[in-house]
Amino acid sequence: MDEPNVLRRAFTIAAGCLVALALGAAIFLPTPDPDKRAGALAITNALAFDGEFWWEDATLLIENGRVVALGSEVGIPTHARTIDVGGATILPGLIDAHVHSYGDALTQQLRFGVTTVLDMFTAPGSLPASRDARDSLAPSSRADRFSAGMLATVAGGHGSQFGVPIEAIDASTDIEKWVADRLSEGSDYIKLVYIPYQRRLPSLTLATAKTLIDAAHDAGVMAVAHVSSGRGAQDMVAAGADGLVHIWADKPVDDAFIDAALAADIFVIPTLAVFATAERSGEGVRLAEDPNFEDRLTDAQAASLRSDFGLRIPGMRLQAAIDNTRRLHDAGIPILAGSDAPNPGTAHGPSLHHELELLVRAGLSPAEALSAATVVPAERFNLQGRGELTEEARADFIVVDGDPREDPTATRALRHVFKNGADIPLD
Amino acid sequence: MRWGRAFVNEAGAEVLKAWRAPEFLLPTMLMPVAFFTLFAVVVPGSSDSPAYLLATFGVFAVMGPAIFGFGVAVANERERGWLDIKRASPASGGLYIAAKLFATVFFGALSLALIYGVAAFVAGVSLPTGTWFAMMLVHLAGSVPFALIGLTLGFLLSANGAVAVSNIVFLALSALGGLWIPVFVFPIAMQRFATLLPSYHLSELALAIGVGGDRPSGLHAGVIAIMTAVLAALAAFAWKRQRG
Repeated sequence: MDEPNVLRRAFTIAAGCLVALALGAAIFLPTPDPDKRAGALAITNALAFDGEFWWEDATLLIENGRVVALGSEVGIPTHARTIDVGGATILPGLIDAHVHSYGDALTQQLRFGVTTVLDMFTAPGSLPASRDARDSLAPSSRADRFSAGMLATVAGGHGSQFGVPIEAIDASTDIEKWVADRLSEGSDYIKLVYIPYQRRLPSLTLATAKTLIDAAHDAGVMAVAHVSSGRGAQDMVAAGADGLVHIWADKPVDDAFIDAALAADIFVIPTLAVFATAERSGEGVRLAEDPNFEDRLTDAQAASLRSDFGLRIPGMRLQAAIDNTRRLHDAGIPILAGSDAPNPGTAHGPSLHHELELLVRAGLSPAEALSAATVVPAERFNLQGRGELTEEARADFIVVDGDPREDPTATRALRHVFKNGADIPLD
Repeated sequence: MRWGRAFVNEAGAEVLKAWRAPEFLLPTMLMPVAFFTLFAVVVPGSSDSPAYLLATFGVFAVMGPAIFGFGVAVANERERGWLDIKRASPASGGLYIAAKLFATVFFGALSLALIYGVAAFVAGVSLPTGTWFAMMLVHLAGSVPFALIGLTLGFLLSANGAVAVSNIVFLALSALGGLWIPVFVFPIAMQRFATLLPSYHLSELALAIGVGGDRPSGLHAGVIAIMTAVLAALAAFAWKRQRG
């Protein structure tokens, strides 16, 4: 009777293997470093911007992925780890208010200090996953994303050239249903393309654009508009758009526009970085050669920064765009920093730092430019706990060398990027 | 006591049989880990969510051994007359099926060990110990409904037919259940269809554990329990009505 013993032994070995695997799993499978996640951490000896005030000789205390306190007289609990940054500057994680994200975009954004992006058109399939991710405080190697999802445009219109499927809008489209479909896909707001007054590309009509804006508002979300001309911008303000996602350079901003824009309380995301490319200014190449960035760029980022549209695009003069941005800012119209990456001449991450510099050239103080990349987009897009470092805000922040109130390029000297309270490796 | 010993012998025999013919099981165990490595490690841009891929590919990893290794293989055993002897013997069909399930869980665990190893030590997934175990438990338990599907097919179909049909079932459960690419990229009709598949609910449950987000884990667990009970009844029925 040898056989049953063999069978019993086979069973015993199999059962033993299962137990051994379970034990091995308990011992060897890696667990998140508690110091990186939940542990209390104090960043001391810093200049710090909390979204409203600048604090000298400040301490930032975080725990469980959230801010506990920031100020000059913050007590440090005994169980907290401490990092003395020796006078470096703490800023809220940056917000890029105009990107198109796919592939490794969110990873690259985070590597360069951008902890939240506002996407202005991407394939909607990825939206539910990014909603899950941004609600979590678990360690993450990616920036959080809010998105328009699919954009509203006409067949053959701007936005249809990228091969991303679009439900183009025509006279027979049920606009309310179109908006409802976007919201069920996970869109956070509606973006529409309104580019009349030119013959190259077809555009939504003013009436349809207004219907879209009204439908978005009825559904409880914002509607922002891509415009490319002063008249188009004027139309969108009149139609009730919440914001314009580009500046325009075809004609100077006039008083009539400023009055209407102030009355309607709209904001503008100039995306000057793209105007720099359209003019073949070579600024993308200079960014790729910035010593702070050069060694950290992926091949794809470097190639993107060094590319352009292949021609100078008429009607997109950088200086005119800067001058218009300056007029809006001087008049008190909120300006938001957005790079429009990954257009030619831009790259996810570095280009928001470029945009900060361009906004300073448009008359924002360096500190105002930082607000345009933190607290202003957070307020305008109602991003709770982002763009500021007040109690209970997310522990998304960066530490940079130098004083970015004096030098708008100081943000490029990144020393730390913290996301959900965890220190992100910068190599 | 007698039942316990009979089960140990039956289950040991199943494990030994598979162990002695590794050319049958090895490919079904290696393919999932190869796929996972491709998508979670090799392909650039996809490596941002290795925990997500582990949750779905863990279901994929137990499905192959379950459906092919221990389910469909019974069609062969039947055609060679082995099941006639089994049915004539005093041991019950339930015992035979239970032994198959044990062997399925064992080889499913080996398949999972490979994929968890790559996830943890190559793809860089790190989770709290409780989360690792909860996910592992879901994956291991997941091999049971798949084995029952394979057994039902194996009892009812000819050996050739069982291989062909189970291939379609295997691919449909994988692709339409969202194990390779997330279900939410599908059109709405296909998303609805996915809710009929145990692979979908298992991967959602594993995702609820490993990734979190807005996923009703209790609902998914309940659906899996009901589906497993129905499949068990179906397998028992097929055992009685099996093809001669």
